[in-house]
Amino acid sequence: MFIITCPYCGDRDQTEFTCHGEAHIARPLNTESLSDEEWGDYVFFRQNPKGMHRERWVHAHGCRRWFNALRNTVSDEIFATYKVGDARPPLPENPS
Amino acid sequence: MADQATLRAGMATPLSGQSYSSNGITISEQQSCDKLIVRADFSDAATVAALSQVLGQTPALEANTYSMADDKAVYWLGPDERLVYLHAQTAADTIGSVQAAIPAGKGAVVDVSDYYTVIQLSGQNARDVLSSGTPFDVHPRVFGAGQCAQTRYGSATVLLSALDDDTPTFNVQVRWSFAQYLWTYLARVAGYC
Amino acid sequence: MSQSCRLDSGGRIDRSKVLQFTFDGKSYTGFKGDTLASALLANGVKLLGRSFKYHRPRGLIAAGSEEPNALMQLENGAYTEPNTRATCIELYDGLVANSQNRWPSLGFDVGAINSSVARFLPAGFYYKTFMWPASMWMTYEKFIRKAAGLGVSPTEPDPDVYHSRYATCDVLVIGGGPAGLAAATAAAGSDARVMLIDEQSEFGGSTLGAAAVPEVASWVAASTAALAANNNVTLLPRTTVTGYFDYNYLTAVEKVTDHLGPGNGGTAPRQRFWKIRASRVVIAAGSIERPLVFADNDRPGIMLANAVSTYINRFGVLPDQNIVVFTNNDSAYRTAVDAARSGATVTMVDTRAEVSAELTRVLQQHKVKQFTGHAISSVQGTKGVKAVRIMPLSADGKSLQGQAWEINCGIVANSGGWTPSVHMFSQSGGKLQYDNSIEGFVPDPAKAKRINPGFSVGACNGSFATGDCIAEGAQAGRQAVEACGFVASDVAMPELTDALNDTGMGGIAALWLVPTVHPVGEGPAKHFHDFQNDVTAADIHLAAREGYLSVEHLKRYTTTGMATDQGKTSNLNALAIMAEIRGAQIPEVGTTTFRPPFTPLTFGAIGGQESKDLFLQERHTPMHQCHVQNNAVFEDVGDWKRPWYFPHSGEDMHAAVQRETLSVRTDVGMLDASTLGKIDIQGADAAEFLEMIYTNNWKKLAIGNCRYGLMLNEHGMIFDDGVTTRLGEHHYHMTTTSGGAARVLNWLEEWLQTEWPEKQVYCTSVTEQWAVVALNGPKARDLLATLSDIDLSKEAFPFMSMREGQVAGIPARVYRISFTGELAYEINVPARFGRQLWETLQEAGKPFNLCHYGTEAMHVLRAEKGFIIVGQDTDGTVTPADMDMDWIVSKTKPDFLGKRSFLRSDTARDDRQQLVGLLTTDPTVVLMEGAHIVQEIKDAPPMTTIGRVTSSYMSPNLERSFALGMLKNGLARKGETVQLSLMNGDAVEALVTDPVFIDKEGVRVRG
Repeated sequence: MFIITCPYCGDRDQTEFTCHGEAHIARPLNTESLSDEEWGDYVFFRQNPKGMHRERWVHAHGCRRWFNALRNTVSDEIFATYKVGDARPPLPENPS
Repeated sequence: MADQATLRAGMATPLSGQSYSSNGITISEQQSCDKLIVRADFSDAATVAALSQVLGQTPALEANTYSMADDKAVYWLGPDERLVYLHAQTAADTIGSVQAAIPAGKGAVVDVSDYYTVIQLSGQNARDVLSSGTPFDVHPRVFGAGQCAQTRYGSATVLLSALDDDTPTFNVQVRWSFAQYLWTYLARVAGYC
Repeated sequence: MSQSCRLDSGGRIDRSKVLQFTFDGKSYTGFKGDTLASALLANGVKLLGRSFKYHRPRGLIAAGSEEPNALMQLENGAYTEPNTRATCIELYDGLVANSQNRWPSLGFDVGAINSSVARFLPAGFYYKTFMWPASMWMTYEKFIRKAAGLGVSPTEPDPDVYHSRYATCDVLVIGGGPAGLAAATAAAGSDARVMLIDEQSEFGGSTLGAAAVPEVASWVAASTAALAANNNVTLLPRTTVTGYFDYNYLTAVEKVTDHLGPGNGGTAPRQRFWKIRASRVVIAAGSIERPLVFADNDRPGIMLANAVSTYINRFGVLPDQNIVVFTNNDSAYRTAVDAARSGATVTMVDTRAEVSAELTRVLQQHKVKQFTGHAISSVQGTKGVKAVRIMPLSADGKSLQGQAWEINCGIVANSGGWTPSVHMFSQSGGKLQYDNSIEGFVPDPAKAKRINPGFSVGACNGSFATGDCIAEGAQAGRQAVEACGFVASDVAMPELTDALNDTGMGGIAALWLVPTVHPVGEGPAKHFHDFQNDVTAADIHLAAREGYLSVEHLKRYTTTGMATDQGKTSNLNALAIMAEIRGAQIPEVGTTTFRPPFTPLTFGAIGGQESKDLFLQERHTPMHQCHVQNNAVFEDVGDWKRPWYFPHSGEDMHAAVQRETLSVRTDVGMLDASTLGKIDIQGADAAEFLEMIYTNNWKKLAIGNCRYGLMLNEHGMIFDDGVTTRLGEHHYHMTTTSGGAARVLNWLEEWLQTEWPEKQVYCTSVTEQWAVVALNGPKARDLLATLSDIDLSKEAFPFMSMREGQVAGIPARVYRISFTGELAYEINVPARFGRQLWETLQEAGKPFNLCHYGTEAMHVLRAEKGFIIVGQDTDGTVTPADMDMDWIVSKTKPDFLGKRSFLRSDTARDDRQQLVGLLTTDPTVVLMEGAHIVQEIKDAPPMTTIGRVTSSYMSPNLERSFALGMLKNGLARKGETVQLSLMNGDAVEALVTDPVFIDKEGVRVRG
């Protein structure tokens, strides 16, 4: 059971949050001109890495804000949480 | 048409203002008060100044706190969201002036007077009752008078606020539809703490 | 003879408090302070159960929670609990316990024949034999489970109540022995919040079972008292930490009133489940003695050496006058001395050829006969040890040869060394390392998981001497509390002088498998290492021969370590025996991962108060009490309790629903629609936002008007629908499905916050702000007119518009929208007036034959009009085109969510399943929802499915049954007849029709 640092409310129990998968997937602007492959890649395909993952969380029982987290999916260590639009924190030198 | 007195007589709260005591803990539904959600850019000094004028206080600017002055309290809910308690049935009179304090189209004011009810919890073991349902740490070192937090109690989303540290007293704000569930929960665990 | 094995004095029991209890129907007495195990042993009862597989007679092995054998069925009826360990049950007056896994009685057990046919019951036997033919496994399994059963589950509801709670602390200390007490003492003192947890009824850990050392005893007492007096310290005795999860989240079960006996706890909960978040964790969980694996080492009376000491020292029970101590290390010498001091005749059998002169001198001083370099070759006695035969051990430890001796005894106290309790460290994600000096795995601090900061100290870290434990504990407590930003306290050290009590384990020379005169697996004797799952050294040899060499394979093949004790006494022996077979080092065989729970726990504790009426949250509308008074039968819709139907006296559900459905179309009905999700949307970009969220156009919607909208996900599939009303220039009121409210708000916020943060749009849930009554039916206007000041004429207040005014004197927003196809008004008032509105309408409606209707009639009514319910008629794979709702999809907007997916080949193909109406040839047949429409009826499945029924009802308005369904290429098949195959095997024929069955032109709704 994680402790997650909401960038707005601070450290809170994981049960206050919901995870919504990979972060930094921008919706294409010119959807009509995309090939099926390009559109399919946006809609369906995700990295699902073993290791460092940037993902979106929402503080559902708290401030209802969305934010991003940098988490090692093996150790579940969360190295950073950051607001939407903030610069991506660098990958840790010692990820596990 | 019903007159105002008849109207008021017909008003209800989800828990009919009931009160319960067990193990030195008192649980009671508070008298209803009007409430407004205010969405605005609280990093904008002009907006904050205008809102302060209307609300009679600088609205809580720090996360997990509330401000209070005269008959109003302002709870921090999110970076651009506050909840105003009016402590009277005055939403209709107030809403326009609050709206006017926010630049047009760049915020929102919503009457949520009936959306929530407030259950007050008081007594030496009140923190144990709270900790029976929420993972949020309510120790006085981290959650003293003047602080508030949105969290989870059982399966309900709640807004907790700490009122008094001497006799531990907390308000638990909950959505109308969850009020009976939360009441049952609090009364049950009060007997175990 | 009462308590024949009780010593005249000594022990931590209160001899003035005599307690009665029964075991297998026979009455006994014990004292307050006893465990069920110690009380039985005091009464000379050594046969306590039958083993899992071979039904061999079994007795106590341990004195603590590691006990594998003495599993009890505690109490009767609703209070009964299976598989409780006699060593962990505090004795109370009137306790009733029964042995398990024996039939017809403990003394004579039919299943014991398994033991004589053991040659045919090796590891893997069940699977090898009964897995073929696969279809018979279901039959075999019932009998195998009965034969190999443990206790019996209660069949009545649990009469106890349970409490669960959260706790946050700075330093959590697991284990209240010397190391844990020292850690907690060091951490306490400043403002740090400290929790100290121990599974026993009092603190002191291993010292409670050791011969009294006054300096240690007084140190324990003083430390415990100081901690108890500190308000920042939470002491939890009778509490077991069951799990260690990420970010130092630990769970523990506190046995609050178990020790008082069932029903004696007053209003207190039986157990409390703690969910603890700690900044730092100090694990001081101690260690567990492991048995030597020798011939017939499972006979009742063969116990762990420290257990024998504990029964003597803590409970004043000398289990037998003749005791053999059998060891490969120094620690069991304490047991020999304890037993000899208590008056027993003791013989020491040490597998080691060389033993320190000091130990030999101590034995001589206590008149204990000592055999070094010897081992037990066989055990006499089946239901209890009568004698052992010992022989000299060869230098390599592989064989016995030479002069045999037979020694009469009733107890064999044996020690194969001590295994540090690394369960918690392992559960926390830490990796272990093998320590050759103690022959055991210890935590590798370099391989602890970073997110679970903490320390392992004392015996669980391989440090056995009391002084080392206290020093390590104090050091860890200091570091832990300083890491939390507090000041540590000094820990006073006791004067430790008694060398025998303070040397820890000492001098172990591993002997993992004690040989007999027969090769392993041959001869009559069995060498058990896992007592609870009845696994022997021969099984490990078999596993090795069959290629199950890795620890994970070994475990699953032999089931070693997989019983309810999780192999607390057996795991290392199993690994070591496998290592010897493979000629490998023990770490090469590996260790299994320890998993929660540390000891079994009740479901009641896990559930806590969240059972029965608190199991699921229930949501009520402001009119809930009205519905209760009106005799409503409720339906769960999401978390909501919604009136399903309102039966009049004598009506069943069918009759009530038919009446309600008819009444709405002939007169007028009222429905509590408060559960509909409602979202207030404001901001300069609100209209532009709605254009992206919905498939249709929103910019031209006039203020005061309403519009129906479909929401798609990016797959192009329908995921919610509802009516949205424009309240002002930049202000909208959106409604969603009752179950979809939270999901939709989340969806809107997700787009606004992560994709379009620059847009000025603010969404606020207002679901509970409004109580909503839907008035539906031809008389709706006439009824509403009696209560409202709003001009209800169709010119002033047309369909799909909203007006504000008063209804019954209450300020209201009235929306002229309809989910039935009838003339309808949805009256919204602030929730505080909901009940008043409902009751006023109820009275005012009497002249209009107003009826209450519930969700079932609502479903029939909407289906008669072909209105879909998202989630019932759609399932996340349905596009607007599939619903024949192209009319709601804008052809002019450049983009909206899901639009691009319409072009995907799968979405664009023309033979997708599409919404149709279905009329069965027999009008009395109501199709089952979910029934398959098939290409062709065959005698038996499989048949090719071409569609399914999504909604199906009997309609009093159509005077026949009807259904909605999804049919492959359905839009082009109207007028055709299709076949349906029902679950019961029946075949039904139905006509494919348009899904709108009533008022196709929409005259009524606009009337």
